[in-house]
Formats: sequence, C-alpha cells, structure tokens
Amino acid sequence: MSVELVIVPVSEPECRLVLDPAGVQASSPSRERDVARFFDLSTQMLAIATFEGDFVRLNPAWEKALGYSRGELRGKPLASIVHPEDGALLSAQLDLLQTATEALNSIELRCRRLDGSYRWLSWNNVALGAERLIYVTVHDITQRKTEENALRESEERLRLLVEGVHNYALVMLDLTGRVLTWNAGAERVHGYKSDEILGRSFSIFEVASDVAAGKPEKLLKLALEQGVAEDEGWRVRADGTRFWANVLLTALKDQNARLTGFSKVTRDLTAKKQAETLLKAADLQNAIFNSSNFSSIATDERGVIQIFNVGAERMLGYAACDVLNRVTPADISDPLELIERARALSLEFGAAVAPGFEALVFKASRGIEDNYEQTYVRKDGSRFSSVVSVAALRDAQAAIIGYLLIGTDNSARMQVQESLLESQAQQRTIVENISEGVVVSDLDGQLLHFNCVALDLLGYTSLEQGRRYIIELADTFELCGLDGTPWPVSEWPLARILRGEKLSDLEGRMRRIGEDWDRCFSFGGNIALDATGQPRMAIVTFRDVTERKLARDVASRMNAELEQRVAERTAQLLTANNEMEAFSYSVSHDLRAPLRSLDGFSQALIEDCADKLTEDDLDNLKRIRSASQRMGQLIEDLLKLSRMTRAEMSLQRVDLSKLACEVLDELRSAEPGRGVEFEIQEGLIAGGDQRLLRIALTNLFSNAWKFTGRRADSRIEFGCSGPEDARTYFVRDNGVGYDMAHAGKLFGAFQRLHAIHDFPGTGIGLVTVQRIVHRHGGRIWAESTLGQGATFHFTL
Amino acid sequence: MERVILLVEDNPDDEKLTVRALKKNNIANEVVVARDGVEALDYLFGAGAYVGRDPGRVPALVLLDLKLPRIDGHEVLRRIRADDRTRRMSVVILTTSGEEQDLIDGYNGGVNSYIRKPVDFTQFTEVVRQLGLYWLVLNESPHSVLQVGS
Repeated sequence: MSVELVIVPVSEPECRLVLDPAGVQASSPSRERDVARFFDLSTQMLAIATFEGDFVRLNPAWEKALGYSRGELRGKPLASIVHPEDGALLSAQLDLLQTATEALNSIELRCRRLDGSYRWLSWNNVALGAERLIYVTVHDITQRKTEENALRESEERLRLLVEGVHNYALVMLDLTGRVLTWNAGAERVHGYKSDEILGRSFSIFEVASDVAAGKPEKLLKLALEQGVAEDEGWRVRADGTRFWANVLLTALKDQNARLTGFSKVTRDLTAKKQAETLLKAADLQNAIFNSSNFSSIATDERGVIQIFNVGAERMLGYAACDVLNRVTPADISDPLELIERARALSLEFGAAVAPGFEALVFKASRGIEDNYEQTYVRKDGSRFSSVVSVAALRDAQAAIIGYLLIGTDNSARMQVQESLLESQAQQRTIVENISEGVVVSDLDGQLLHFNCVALDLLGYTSLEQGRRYIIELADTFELCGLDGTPWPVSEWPLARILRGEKLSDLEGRMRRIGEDWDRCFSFGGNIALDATGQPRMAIVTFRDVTERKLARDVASRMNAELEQRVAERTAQLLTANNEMEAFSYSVSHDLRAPLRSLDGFSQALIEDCADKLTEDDLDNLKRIRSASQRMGQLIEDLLKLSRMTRAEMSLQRVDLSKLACEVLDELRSAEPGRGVEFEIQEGLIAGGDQRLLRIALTNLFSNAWKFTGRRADSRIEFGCSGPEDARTYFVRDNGVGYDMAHAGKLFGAFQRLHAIHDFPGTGIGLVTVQRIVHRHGGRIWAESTLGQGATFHFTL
Repeated sequence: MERVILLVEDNPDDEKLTVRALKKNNIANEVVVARDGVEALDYLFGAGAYVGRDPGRVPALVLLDLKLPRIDGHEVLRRIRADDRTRRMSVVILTTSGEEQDLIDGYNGGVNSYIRKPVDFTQFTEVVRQLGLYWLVLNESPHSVLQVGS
C-alpha cells in the first residue's frame, strides 16, 4: 500500500491564531472552561503529545474512532497505534518538528484500531518548541483514501494496459477522425512516433485508393450509425510499406449519449496472413507430393534417391528407407528397357548414353521435357508399368542439383484399355451374332464394317469384299421401293442416315445387277454419337423380309379376295333383298287379286243364284269364300312380318306401361263385352322403336286376350323383373296355356298349337313378336302349363 | 246428265266385281273402263282411241289402280295433277297394295283418297257403297259446281 505525504503550507498569522491557546486560556477562567469543553466535545481527534512522541492528553473522540480508552493511550507513544510501515514516516516528521525546521506539518497515517483494523487518519501536528509539546489534530480520511486508491489503481492499470499493449494500436480519434492519443502498439503497428501523428487524420493510415474511394469517412459513418465498424484490409505504414490490418472503430459517447470521439484498435495481421498463405501452399505441395496416385522420386544430381513418396512406396513395394541414399531409379528399373533406351538416345543424340540413371534423365538434364513409359521392377520382382515425367531440379544459379521423376500408375490405364478391349470384343460379339445385318460407315460414307449377317445377306464371302464406299456398291446393287420405284444412291438408306434421318422399318428391294438375286429388306439405322454427343459414325441395320413380304402379299391378296367376295355377297344380298321386296309387292298384289275374284264371284253366285242352288251348293260356295278370305289374311300377315323385318328402326325412349294401356284399351273397345282384369306395372320405360314395340305388345296382349276368352275371371298382367340394366318384361295370362312339349313350335311361322275353330289366328303373331324382340337385341321365351295360363318373357 | 266414273283397272275380274259393286249400290253413273295408264290418259285428254272427246268433260270420279301395264297408276296421277283441265278432278286410288310407299306416293301425288281392296267381297261392296256416297253425293267438287253453273 502506498502512502502519500502531504505537506500543507500554513501562513504565519493563521498559525498563530490557532496556536495561541495559552493566551486565550490565560485571559479568563470561563474561556478556559469553554476550551476544555470544545476539547471534550470535538468529533475530531485532538491530542497533546510530548516531543518524544508520547500521548499526554487525548479527547474522547479517539475512543470513538479507534476503540481504545483514553487511559489506554495516555502515556503511550503515538507510534504504538501507527501502522508499522508508517512508523518511520511518523518518527521522521516528529524529528522535523523537534528540530524546529518545521513547526507544523501534516501527515496521513494508517492507524490501528483496537479491533486490529486500520483507519487512514490525517494528522496535523503543531509543535510548541518552548513547551516541548506537540498539538495534534486528527481526522479520519479512510473514505477518501480508499476511493483515491481505487481510482489510482484503476487508472494505472488502464495506463499500463494501453501503454503496454504492443500488438495493438490503440488510438483515440476526435469527431473528425484526428488522432488524439497514441500508444506503443500504435507506434509499432503504424511506425509513427506520437509527436509525428497527433492531430493528424487517421486516413493517413489508409492506402491511397481507399482514401480516394472515401473509405475513412465511410468507416466513421458506419461506426457512428452502428456503434462499431470493423474492417480488414491493407493499411500503409509510415515508411510506405503495407500491412494487412484488422481495424475496429468504436464510437465513444458520454453520459448524455453525445458523441465525443472514436476509439480505433488496429492489429497487424500480415504475419498471420502470410503464414496462412504459406501454410496453404505447403499443404498443397505436401498433398501433391504425398499423393499415392503418383510416384514421386527425387534424386540428387548423381541419381541417388533422396525422396521416395508414399505413391512410390505403394506402387513399387519399397519402403522409403529401403532406397533413400542407397540406390538410383535405374536400379529399380527394367534393365533391358534401360539398355534399349540408352541405345535409342545414343542414336538420337549421337552421344554415348550409359544404360543406367543417365538413360533415365538424359533429356531432362539437357532441359528437354521428357515423358516416357517406364517399367519399374517391384521389390517382389514383379513388373510395373508407369508413365514417367522427368524434370531436372536446379538451384538459384541454374545448376542441376537433382532430378524429380513423377510416375503415374499405368496399370490402371492398362486395365481400362483391357476392359475397353474386352467390351469392344463383347460389342463385336453382339454385333456379329445379332440376326440383323449391320453395316457401319464413317461420316463420309466409307463402309467400315459389315457383320457376318450383313456379308451373308449381301452375298459377300469375306470382309474385304465389303469394304467399299457406298457409291461403289451402286455398281453391284440396285435398290428400289416395294412399289418398284428405283432409289438413286442419294436415297439409299445409308445416304439418308448420313443426312441425319433416323430410319426404322423402311422396306425396299435390293437386286444384284445382272444376276438373279432379288430380295426384300427392312432397313433401319441412325447416326451414332460418341460420349460427348458428337456424331461418330452411321449404322445401317437390315434384315431379309422377302419371305415375310411374300407371306404378307399372300395375306393381302387373300384379304382382297375376301373383300371382293364380301362385296359380291353384299351385292347378292342387296339383290335378294330387292327381289324380296319385289316379291312381297307382287304377293300383295297378284296373290290377293285372284282371292278377291274367288270370293267376289262366289258371293255373286250366292246372291244371284241362291234359288237355283241346294243348301250343299251354298255351303260349298261359302267354304270357297271362307278359304279365300283366310288366305287373304295369311298373305296380309306374311306381308306384315316381312315389313317388320325390313322397317327402319328409330330408337327412342318408349313408355311401355303407357303403350300397354293403349293396346288393352283398343282390345277392350273391340270386344266391350268381356270382363278382363288387367294389372300393368307403371313406369316401365325402355329404349326401342315405338311402332314396332306397339306391334309386339299388341300381338302378345291379343294372344292373352284370345286365350283367356273362355274364362270368366280372365286376368292379364304386364310387368318386369331384374335390375334396371337387365330387365326382363313379362306378359302373363291365366288362359288355356299350352303344352310345354310343343314350346319349340311357338315361334315358328304358321305354327299353331290350337285348333283354328278353338282360337282363330294365322300363327304369325308370335313370330312377329320374336322378330321385333330380336331386332331390339333381346330374346323372348315362354313358360306355360296346359290349362293354367302362359307367361311370355322378353328382354330388349 | 250424270257424269261418268272412270275405272282404271287392268284385271277384268276386278273390273267386273267393281262394276257389280257399283250397281249393287245403285250408283247409276256411266262407268268408263281404261285397262292401262295410256288408255286412261287418252280418255282424259281426248287422245288415241278417244280423239275428239272433249277433255273439258271431266269424270265425276276416277278409280285408279296402281299396278297397270305401260303407264302405272302413280304416273297417271302425276299427269292428271299436272294438267290444268284435270288438276282438281276427284281421284281415288283403289288398289290391292297396302305398301306404305304406295300410300305416301299416292298422297304426295295429290290423290283424294286411298282405298285398299279387301279380299272379302261383302266388305268390298261396302267400301264401294261408301265411296259412291261420299264422292258422288256428299262431296262438292269445283267441277260439279262449274257444271251446275253452265
């Protein structure tokens, strides 16, 4: 702990004023009492000591400040409560007072309290030489002292820090960027002494181009806006050299947040940067040198191996220690190859080259770049092929100090070549064995290759025969389209492919000129691209489709014949149809006319000659009439049936329920006397021809109506079953029914299952219904039990 | 004077039966029979065998069969309707044909009625009775009006 001694000068009169208590004391007893009271009441420590330094009298304030009783201190030396380190100071001051060179002094001392702690006390001592007494006024300055010390220590530390920092330039700038303070680090970093730089703008540190670009101002602005601005870049020293710097600019603000200036911390990173760069370069070199993909062998100028990298170790099987300073690369090379190389070099350069290391570096030693294929002999005696690049190593004076032989692992390349050859062989095998002919040409149309099939197809016996230009083939072959149109050479498949067309299934005929050789081929092909997408060659494939063509011709001829036959049949059918219509027409006219005559004239006889004829005669005439009319009806029904088959269908939505009601109404009105119960399901809608369906329903209901005629409780039902898309409709009656044994005859024309006198009819009705149902793509069937009615089912 | 009925009919049986049916129904108009289309047109327009006949004397009714030798019934109808003198004449097709096409052609050609001859003579007689009643008695034709006027 430091101690400060403060000497306070006191003027003479003031001193006297204070130091003349005796005078005051003497003047009156009450005054003396007052003084004594002041002495006792003073909060300041007051004491009288002897010249020797012992307490004589103390006021009560001492007790309060230090904890001792006055009795404990009285008669004791002052020094007994003073810090041992301050003892000397005290005694020196007391000495001064005694020698009377100074009658008055003031010292600050640390004094021990009763509890052992220390207080800083300021002692004002006044010596009265005559009485050999010292009057002491003491007050406690511990508080001030502690604060002062703390401040001092802090400032000192900061100063030491700033002064002592050599690696950083710590500089204060004013608002405009002028330098206010300069530390040792700044001197070291920037190279200016403080008197050279103080007051100058910090832009002096920047390189000219940055100054021109306004960088210093920008940095200040940035620091002002963001509080801090950091920048890394080149700076200029006082001597003009550059250094790589990291600069941190901080805005300084006072308690009122008013800008007072900037602090600038600059660090020289040049060394670090260089180190980084060096490190990188060294790493790179190391990485290259240690790459196991290259054998790097460095020798001295005589060829003795000095460096043998991991690549060399891996490729050649030697450890570096096996060869370093022991052998030359020639010692681990194929000797025969060396001899050959030496011979070749001797010939080339007209100088004797020894079949040793010299042969390996001869060219390099003469400054000629040299790359060659070299066979090393591995430690285990096996051979290893390498492509070696040789360079001479020279010192600063260009004298050769060694050689560097860098070799690549050629075996990998050899392997690639082998696998390439293998895959080529495979490809060749494929090309040779596919069933199509393959011809390969270069982009100029020179035919490079024919596979066996191609040779075979073209009638060549050897590859040599086939190796021609496309144009030469025109001497041998003619090509034409299947339709016989000749193809000029420029339209031959290869020519088209060479123009960039992609062909597939192009069929054409090929003929050998002057020979009986005529085949049909299907051609294909395209330009083949290499790995980089560049056109490399043209490929034409072709296969013999002569047989296929023949087969196809036969097929198409048969097709044509078939079509012809179909056309003929159609025509015949049309004719038949027309004939049928003509027939129907004439039936309608010509067959009916005689019937009319039969009927008419029979009737005329009956009318005109009734009185001349017997009953029997009349009956016979009636029979003629009846038969005529019946035949007329038959013809009528036949014509209807024929019309049913021929009529155009017009499909629409038909409300079968409504249709059934209408038909039944007609039946009822035709025979109003009959009481028949109907049950017609509602909402039966179907797609069909309304007119035809009406005829069908009319026939079915007429039948039902007819065959229920003998029952009193006749009942006819119409309904459907099944899902909407596969409905089955039915017409059911409770009439006489029929025997299912004859069901097969139901739908035959003119087939009747009942005697004509029981139930009249021509046997055409159900055939007509069946025709109509069939024309709607449906089917119809019936079920019945004799005497228990019949049900007709149909679909549409 | 009663106007004639022109019966165009090639079948003699039908001709006889038709005439009989007319008589049976007490239709007393003179019946002129043409046995094919040409004859019918000759009669109507005063040509051929009928040169000199006044075409202005239009029959009261033409009963026209369709299937006729030389010129068929449809063509006869076409020519009747194409000529101003006969354009408004009552023409009834009386035929055996029930073909739809014949019906359509007949009406398209401007026929006044299309009757199918039934096989049953009793029915036929009834048809003829109705024809006569309708076309010769009830129906007013322009020609009958004109004729009354003249």
